Formats: sequence, structure tokens, C-alpha cells
Amino acid sequence: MNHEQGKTKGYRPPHSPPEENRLLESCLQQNLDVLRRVAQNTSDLVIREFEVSGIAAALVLCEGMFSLVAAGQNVLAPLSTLRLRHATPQKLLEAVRNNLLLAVDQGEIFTVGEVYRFIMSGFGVLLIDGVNCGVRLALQGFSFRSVSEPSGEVNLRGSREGFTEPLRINMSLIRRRIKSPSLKFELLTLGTQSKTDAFLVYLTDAVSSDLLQRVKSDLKKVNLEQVLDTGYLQPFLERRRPLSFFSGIGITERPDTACAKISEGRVVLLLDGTPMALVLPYLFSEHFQSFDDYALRPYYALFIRCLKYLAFFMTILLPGTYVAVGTFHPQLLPRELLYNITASMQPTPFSLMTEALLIHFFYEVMREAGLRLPRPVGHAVSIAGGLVIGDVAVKAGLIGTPLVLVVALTAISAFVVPTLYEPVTVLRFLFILAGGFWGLFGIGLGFALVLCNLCALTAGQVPVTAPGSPLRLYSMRDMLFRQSWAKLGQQVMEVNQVPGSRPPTPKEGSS
Amino acid sequence: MNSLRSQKLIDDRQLLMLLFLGRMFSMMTYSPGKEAVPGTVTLAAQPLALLAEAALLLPAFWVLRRCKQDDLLGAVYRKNRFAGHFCAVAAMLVCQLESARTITVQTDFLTGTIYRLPNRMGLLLALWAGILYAVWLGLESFARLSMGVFVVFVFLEGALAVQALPHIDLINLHNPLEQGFVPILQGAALSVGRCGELAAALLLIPAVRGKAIKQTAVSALLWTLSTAFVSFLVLTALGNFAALRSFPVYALALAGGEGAVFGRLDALMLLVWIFLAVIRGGMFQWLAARCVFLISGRGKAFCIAASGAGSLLMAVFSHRLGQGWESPLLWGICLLSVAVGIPLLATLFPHGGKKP
Repeated sequence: MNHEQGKTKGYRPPHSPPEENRLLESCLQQNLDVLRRVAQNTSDLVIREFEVSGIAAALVLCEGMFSLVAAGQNVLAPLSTLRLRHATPQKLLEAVRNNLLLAVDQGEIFTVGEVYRFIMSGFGVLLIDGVNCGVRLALQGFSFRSVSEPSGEVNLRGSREGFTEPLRINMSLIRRRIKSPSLKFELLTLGTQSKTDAFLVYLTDAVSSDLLQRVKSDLKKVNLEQVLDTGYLQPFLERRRPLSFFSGIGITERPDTACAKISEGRVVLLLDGTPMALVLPYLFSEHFQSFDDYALRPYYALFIRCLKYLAFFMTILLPGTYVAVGTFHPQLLPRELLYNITASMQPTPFSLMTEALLIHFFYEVMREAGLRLPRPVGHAVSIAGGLVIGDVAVKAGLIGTPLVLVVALTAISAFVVPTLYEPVTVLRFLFILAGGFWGLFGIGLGFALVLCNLCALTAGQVPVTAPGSPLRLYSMRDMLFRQSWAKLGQQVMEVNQVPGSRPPTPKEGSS
Repeated sequence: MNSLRSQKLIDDRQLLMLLFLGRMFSMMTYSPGKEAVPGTVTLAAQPLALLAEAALLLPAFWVLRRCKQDDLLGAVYRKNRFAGHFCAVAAMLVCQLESARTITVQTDFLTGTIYRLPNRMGLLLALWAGILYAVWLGLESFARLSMGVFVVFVFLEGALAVQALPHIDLINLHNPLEQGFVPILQGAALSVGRCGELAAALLLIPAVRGKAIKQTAVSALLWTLSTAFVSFLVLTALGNFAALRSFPVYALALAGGEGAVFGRLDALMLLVWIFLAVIRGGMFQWLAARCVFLISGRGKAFCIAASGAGSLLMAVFSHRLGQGWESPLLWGICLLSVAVGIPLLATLFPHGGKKP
């Protein structure tokens, strides 16, 4: 629905109903009527009306979003025992404002829209008859997943904490690690209907103002009704020029990784309801780095990084190269291997390219099925898939045995750099086609163009291939080889110092 | 944003890489058997070729200094608009020819040496389309790519040397002065004539940040050393066999066979050569597109399509020229028209006109 509407030229998302901008009145019943009308009598709107020293008041809440204990003990109990002499609405408000400690986060709000937004975020709002404002009280008590180790970014050493869904908890996970006053959380609200809270997190003394302006101006262009995940925002932040399989935006679930990126002058975007934080800008070489690299000895970090680069190239190029060599350049293979491949291919009815495409297609189907199915069933699918590919398909004469080895190697290698899984999968198929049609020339040309495309990509004015190209040796100290902390710690390398970074042109800046 | 406008798109080190790798593409097509002078003479002529290249660039640099700017075509445009158009058309044709030559040489190598069943047109179109895509991505894309390719190329040269080491026999080198000094002059002229990168250097300068002239000089020195090194390996390791091969540098990579230290260097060389073709073809095609932009003032898509169509036509019909396509005279004239012709026009006209 969103996409369909979004395609229409000149589309503007529906504005908030005018009643949401309406100021609160002095009359309690009138305010409650408007609230019920705005909420369209939704079942989860809880309105508890009561009297305090003879003055009518109401606590407005959202079912399931607040803590019953906190509401009862901290708000209703003190208010029900409150006795004011010559009570007036203003005196009651003064008492709530100055004498009663109903909640740690407490303040006044003035519009119907604010009341609605706060109660939907788990706050309670106290409305008093005769007062034209409400008092918001932090009573959040919704259930959420606890802080746990992120399954997608497991490390041997370092913290076991990962981001979770509630935004405030993620905020605290970062704040606990960077206690500097220059760490700033900037609150944004995204989505015209969902009104999702988001935080831009950065160090004011490290971030480039151009980068910050760019991110803010991109986020202003988000004209979606619902923002349910950071993936919704990524296209707005990427400004896809040129079209590319790769992205200049990173994703992390780890607060320690996010903090490291923030300290390098990057901007991290946290969104309520998702543990996936966006990191801008994100260089290509960072896909091959992990938090473990900085905890382990530098020589081992170098070894692991080399391994990751090799695995990345292998997973993209190996099937295509196998098809190319087997089809067009058999002279490149050692004689014994060539005989084996020829013997294994003889009973199969398909060309090497078709075999490779089929087997990779089957593999992706099984992987996807294993991923989405309930875990016990997923394991069964994996085992059945393994048997089908590894044994039955070969025996049935559908594929040759060496291709099974190629698929297995390719599949395992793809998980060495999990953040690049999406481009890797699609590129693998493209390289099989290129190798099948044009041999090594196709592989070479395709590879050159993929690298050209990658080199053309910039993330917030920083070339994603930096600091490898454009080259600066000093910036290379943490690309392939990681220098020891004694040297790395001498000066923090900020992302806007990466070679090739440039301020936006006036045209880009104004857009 | 139209990246064909005068902007500082790449830095001087990237210029160095682009020029060096472009020249190395031509070097890999070096064949003593096809040359008018013996291989040893070509090898001996390299220092002289370097001096000639420097001499050829001097007038253009002098004109740029005199005009107090870094854009040769812009300097002519400022003097006279029609002369500017004339020079831009000439430069465009030269760049299109160089791009087409890159495509045809690569295609001929593939169909003649690598593939048993030649499908020349399919490969030619694929390479042409790939180069146009690289140009569409912008000069920065293949300039940045050149850094990585340079590293792999240096590794390849080292591996070739290690592989050729057991086969080197100095008896294959002859006295270059056997037939006097004239063949050496001829060899130097041939070497310079095929060096389209000199024209590219002059036309690329407006897009370069930093010390473009210095890095052009460093690049010339590097390619001279590299050419001399690879020629030495080919001549001494392959001997008379080199003269029989169309692509002896590739033959040198093949020489190791299965038991070689680095395995099959020919596959790596093929890969590197394709990268060099994309970089060299892309560099000249981008320059041609920029010339179309100067002439027409149209958008990026139009300029790339128009310049690309010209290169494709030249590449497709190049075989009609037969040996003329390989003639040093053709490429010498191309180089002189940019390196000497345009600076000459820039000095001839009185001040007038304006840059489009």
C-alpha cells in the first residue's frame, strides 16, 4: 500500500488529524471526549476517573503498555490519600508538580496529540478538571526481550550484550560505554502513523557537521506511514547513486561496535522496536573487521582478515570460475583433475553452467526454508537438503561430484562475512552466467565492473573503498593489518579524515 | 551531477596509476616479430623514448603555464571558440580511436589466443558495454580501481620474473648498434608513437588534484622501466620464439606450465589484462565523452552514448583498415595532433572567445 501510493508523483502522506494538534481544554470531560474520538474508542485506551479532594481527575493509560504496580503504588495511592485544604484545580496541579513524586520522568503537556503519543509510549497522563494541561508520568511497563548476545555477531571475546527492541535500553547500553558529555542522543520521530522514536547518536566533537546535516536532511525526506525497522530508512540514507549491490551503511546489533564507530566520528541511528542500529558511513573494509580483531593479537587479526577477504572472493567467484574453466579453459586444470571432472560430467544431462545454476538455486531454496521454518523443522530441512544435494543428486546423475564440493565451499565461505550475504548471493549467480557464456573473459570483465561499481560508491562523501583507494598509508593502519593498540591509540582516526572524503558541493548540500 | 564538467575528480597518484596501467596494456601487446626493428634495439631505445616523450610534453606544459591554467582545451576555447571546437573534435577522435584500439586489441587477443571458437563480435560488444558502464560510473571509479590493479600488476611482473629466471639466456641479446644508431631512433619513435597515454595525460590534467605534471613524469619513468624489464624478460627467456608469437608476454606467462612456482600465471595475466583494458578503454572513453560535452554542452548520458557509438563504429570497422590499424603512423599522428597541434593552436590565436 505504501509503495503503491509512494509511486504516485506528488504523493504526500496523510497529515495528522487536526484534532491531534488541538490544545487541551480546562474541562476534563471535553478533553476525555476528544481523546476517545481521536482514539476512535479503541479498546486498549484506559481512562481511570477519580476525585482528589473533591476535584475530578483522570489517569489516561494504554492497556499493556504501563506497569500496573507503578500506576497503583506510585500514582493512584498517593493521589487517593492526598487531602488539600480549600482545594482548587491549580492547587492540585501545584501539589502534583512540586510535592508529590509520582514518577521520575514527569512533565506537562498541552495538546491532545502529545497526550496520545505519550500514552502509546507507555506513559500515563494525569488530566485535572479545570486545568488546561496534562501531566505525563513515566509508568512504562510493557514486556520486552532482555539484553542478550546478538546471534548474528557472535564474538569470542568482549561483551556479550546486544541491542534489544526498546530504544531507551539501547540508549543506556551506549551511554554506559561512553560517559563523555560530548555524546549526544538526538531524538527524532519517524513515520506519519507509527510515530516511531529514533535517536541519532554521535560525538559532537568528532562528527563532521556535513555528515550530520546530510543524515538529518535525508531523514527529513522519509515520507512513510510506518517505520518498523531501520531497513525502511536505509534507501533514504543511501541516495542510491550509482545503483549498487553494496551499501555505504552498516548494520550492527552490538553496542560495543556502535560505540567504536561513534568514537570514529560516525553517526549511529537507533530505532525503537528493532535491535539493528545503522552506522553511517560504513566503509567496505569494515565488513571484514570484527570486534574480536581488536581483542586478539594483531598477527592473528591480520590472518583472520586475510581469510575473510579470500572467503569473500571465493564465494563470489569460485562457482563461476569453475564453470568457465570447465567449459572454455580445460587446459588450465591439472590433467588428473580434468579427467575426474570429465568423468563426473559424462553421465549428467546438463551443461556445467546449468548444473551450477540449478544446484545453487536448490541450495538457496533450502537455506531460505531452513531459516524461516521453526527450528526443529529447519534442521530436518537442512539434513534432507544435504542428503539430496550431496548424494541423491549425484547418484541420479543430475550433477557431477566436483560441483558438490564447489557448492559446499561456496556456501560455507558466504557465512564468513555475513554482512555481505545479500550481494554475494546475487553476484554468485551472475558470475556463473558470465563464466558460462564468456569463460574467464566474462568472469574478468564482470569482476572489473563490480569493483568499478564498488569504487564509485560513496557513503556520506567518503569513498567506501577508502583507505585502500584513494590510498593513504597512515589510514591503512587498520584496514588489512591492524597495528597494536599502543600505536592505534595514539590518535583516533576519524572517518572524515579518510582519504578522498570531500565536503558536499553546494548542489548536494542543498538537496 | 555531471562528472564531465571541469572538476578535480581524482588525485595525482591516481593519475599516475591510470597512465602507467594504460601504457602497460600496450606493453603487453609488444611483439618483436611485428616490429620494424629487432627486439634488442627496442629495448635499447627505451631511454631515448623517455626523453622524446618528455620533449613532446614540454610545449603543452609551456602553453598551460603561459595561459595560467590547467585545461589545454579550455585554453584554446578562451582564445577562439571555433578553434576550441576544432581541437575538441580532434581530441575526441583521438580518444575514441585509442578506446577502439584497446577494445580491438583485447578482442583479438581473446579470439586469437584464448578461445578455440572465436566469437569476436560478442566479446567486442561485451567489452565495449563494460567500458561504457565504467565511464557512466565516473572517472573516479576506474581511477580508484587502478590502485588495486597496480598492486596485482607489480606482483604479476615479479612472478613473471621468477618464472622466467631459469630460462634467461643473455645469448639471446644482440648488439643494438649492429646496424648503427638509426634503428634505435626508429625504435624510440615507434615506442613514443604508440604512447597514447601522453595525450591522455594532457587532457586529464584539469580533472586532477595535486601535482599532475610531476606524477606524469614519474609515470613515464615507471612505464619505461617496466617496459624495459618485461622486454628484457621476453627477449632473454623466449629468444627467437618470442618473434613467432603474437602476444609473447602471454607466452612468457605460459612458459612455466603446470609445474611452475606460481602455477598458471596465464590465468592471472588474462584477468589483469582485462582489468587493464577496462581502465585504459574507460580513461580514453571518458576523455572522449568530456570532449563531446565541451562541444555540445549536453548531459552525461548523451555525451557517453555519442562518444561510445563512435568508438564502437571504429572498433567494428577497424579490420577494414587491415595493417593500417596497427600502423605507427596513424597513432603517431593522433598523438602529435593532441600533444603538439592543440598547444600550437592555443598560442596562435589572439585572446577572444569564451569557454562553453
